[in-house]
Amino acid sequence: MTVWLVAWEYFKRAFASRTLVVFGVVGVLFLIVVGCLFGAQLQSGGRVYGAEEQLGIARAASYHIAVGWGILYAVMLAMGAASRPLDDGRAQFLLSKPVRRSHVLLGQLLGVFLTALAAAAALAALASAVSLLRAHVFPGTLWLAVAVASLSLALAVALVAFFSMFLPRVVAGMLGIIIYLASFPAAIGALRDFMTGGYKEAGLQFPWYVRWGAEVYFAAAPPIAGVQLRAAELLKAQRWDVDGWLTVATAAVYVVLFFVATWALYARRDV
Amino acid sequence: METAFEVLNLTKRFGGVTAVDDLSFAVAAGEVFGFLGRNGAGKTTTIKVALDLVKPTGGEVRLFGDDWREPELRRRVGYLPEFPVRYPHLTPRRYLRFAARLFGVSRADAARRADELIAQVELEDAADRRMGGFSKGMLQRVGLAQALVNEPDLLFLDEPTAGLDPLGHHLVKALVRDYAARGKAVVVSSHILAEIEAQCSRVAIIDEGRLVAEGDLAELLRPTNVVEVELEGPAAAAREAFEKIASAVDVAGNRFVLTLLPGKEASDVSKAAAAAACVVTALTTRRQSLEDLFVSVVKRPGEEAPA
Repeated sequence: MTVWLVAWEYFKRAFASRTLVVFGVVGVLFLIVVGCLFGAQLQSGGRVYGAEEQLGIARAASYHIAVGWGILYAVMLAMGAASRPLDDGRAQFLLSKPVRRSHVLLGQLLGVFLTALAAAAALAALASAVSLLRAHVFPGTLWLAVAVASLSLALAVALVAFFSMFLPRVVAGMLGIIIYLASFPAAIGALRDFMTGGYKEAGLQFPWYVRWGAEVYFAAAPPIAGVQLRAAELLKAQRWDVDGWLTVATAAVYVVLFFVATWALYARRDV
Repeated sequence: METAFEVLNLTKRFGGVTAVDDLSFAVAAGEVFGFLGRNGAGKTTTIKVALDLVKPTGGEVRLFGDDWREPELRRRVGYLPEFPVRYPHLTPRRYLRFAARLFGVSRADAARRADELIAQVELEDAADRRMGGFSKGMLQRVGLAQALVNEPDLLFLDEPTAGLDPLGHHLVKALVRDYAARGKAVVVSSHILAEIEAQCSRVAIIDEGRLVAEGDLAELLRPTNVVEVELEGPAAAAREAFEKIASAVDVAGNRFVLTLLPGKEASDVSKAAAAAACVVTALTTRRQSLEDLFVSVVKRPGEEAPA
C-alpha cells in the first residue's frame, strides 16, 4: 500500500512538472521529423513499397522512437529518483512515518517507471493513432511487445538509480544512456570486434583473457536496447524464438540485481 | 510513568567528525523536554537516529521501551524537521491527506484529519494553494500539522518556531502545552531559550555531542545573588542599610533590587530592613536564567558568546 502511495505521489509530481510537457513536445517533434525522413527515404530508395509495407515500416519506426524516448525520459527521472529524496528532505518526511525504507525506494522507482511508461505510451498512442486510421487491425502480439519493451524501461531505471547512489546524478544518467546505446546488439558486436580487432589485424592470436573478456561482455551487457529490439521482433514476426526469451530473462535478472544493489546502498545511507 | 524516549550511550561519527559522543538521557511520557546545544552540537543527529534516519556508530535508542528501528513504532511518533516541507506541487490539504494515508488510514479519515489539522494550524485560507509559493512561516505551520497527523505520543520538534510570526509562536506554545497535558512526551530542540524555559520541565544541554547538563529546570537554575525586596517603611533608611550588604541597589518606590555582596544572603536583607525600621512584604531570590546556564556550560575559555 505505501509503495503504491509513494509511487502514485511521484507520478503525479512528475506530471505536474513542466519537464514532462517539454519532453513530450520534443518527442512529438522528433516523431514528425523522423517520420518525414523515413518517408523521404522510402520515396527516394527507388523501390516501390506497397501501402501495407509502408504502414509496417512506419509502425516499426514509431515503436522504436516511443520506446527509445521513454528510456531517455526514464534515465532522466531515474538520475534523481533514489538519491535525490535522500538529500532534499522527501525521504526524511516519508521515513519519519511508519514506512519501510525498502518501500520508499521501491515506490520511487515504480513512480519513475510508471511515469516513463506513460510518456512512452502517450507518444506511441499518438503515432499509432495515425496508422490506426489506415489499418484497422494491430498485430495480436502488440500488447506482449509493449510489456516486453517496458522491461527495458525498468532496466534503465534500475541501472541509473544504482549508479546515482555513488556517482553524481548527471554522470549516472550519462552512463545509463551509454549503456543503452552500447546494448544495441550491433553495438555489442562492434565493441567485441573492437576489443579483438587489433590482434586480428596484426595477425596475432589474441590472449584467452581478451577473448573471454569480449565474450563475457557480449553475453552479459545489460540488454536495454536488446529488449527493445526483441520486442520489435514480436511486432514484426508475431512469434518469438529462444533468443528473445533469453534476452528478456537476462534483462529481468539485471533489474532484480541492480535493485538489490541499489537497496544495499540505500539502506545504509544517512538521511 | 512510561519512558517515551531513551538514548543509551549513543555515538555517531561522520567520517572523522564525532557528532554525538556517548550520549544518554531519557524523556518520560507527559514531559516537555528541552534539547539544547550550539549549532552542530548533535541535537538534530540524535533526533534523526531516534527516527532511524541516521545509523548510529554505537549505542542505542529506545522508543516506548522498544528498538527504535522498528518502523511500526513510528505510528506513535511525530517529527517536525528543521526544513519541513518538500512537496511544492501539493496544496497543504493534499499533502496532509498524503501524510495521513502513510499511516494506513482510509481516504475519508485522511481527508477529515487533514481538515482538522488545517484548522488547528490556522491555514484555512491557504489550504488549497500550492505550497511552492509559501513563506517560511506558512511552511512551518504545514510542517507542524504533518507532525501531528497521527496524534503522536512522542513529538519531536526541531526548531518549531523558526520563521513563525508571534501568533505562530503562540500557536506552538499552546500546542505543546496541550500535548503535555494529554500525557504525551514532547522533545523541543530550539535556540530560543526563553521559550524553552517557559515550556519545558526538564532540559538536556549537549556540546560537541556530549551531555554537559541535564535535569529539572528548577534544580538546574541556581539561585543568584540578586534579591528583589518590597517593604513598608522609610525607603531612604532602607537604602542606606542595604548599601552595606549589596554592591548595587536599584530602587523603584518601595521596591528594591539588590546585588548582594559575597557571603551575604536573603536573611541579611530582612535583618537590614528591620534595622532601618522597615517591614519586608515580599522577598525573592532571583534564579539563574536558562540563557545564563547555557552560556556557563557551553562557553569555552576565551570565547565571547556561544554561536
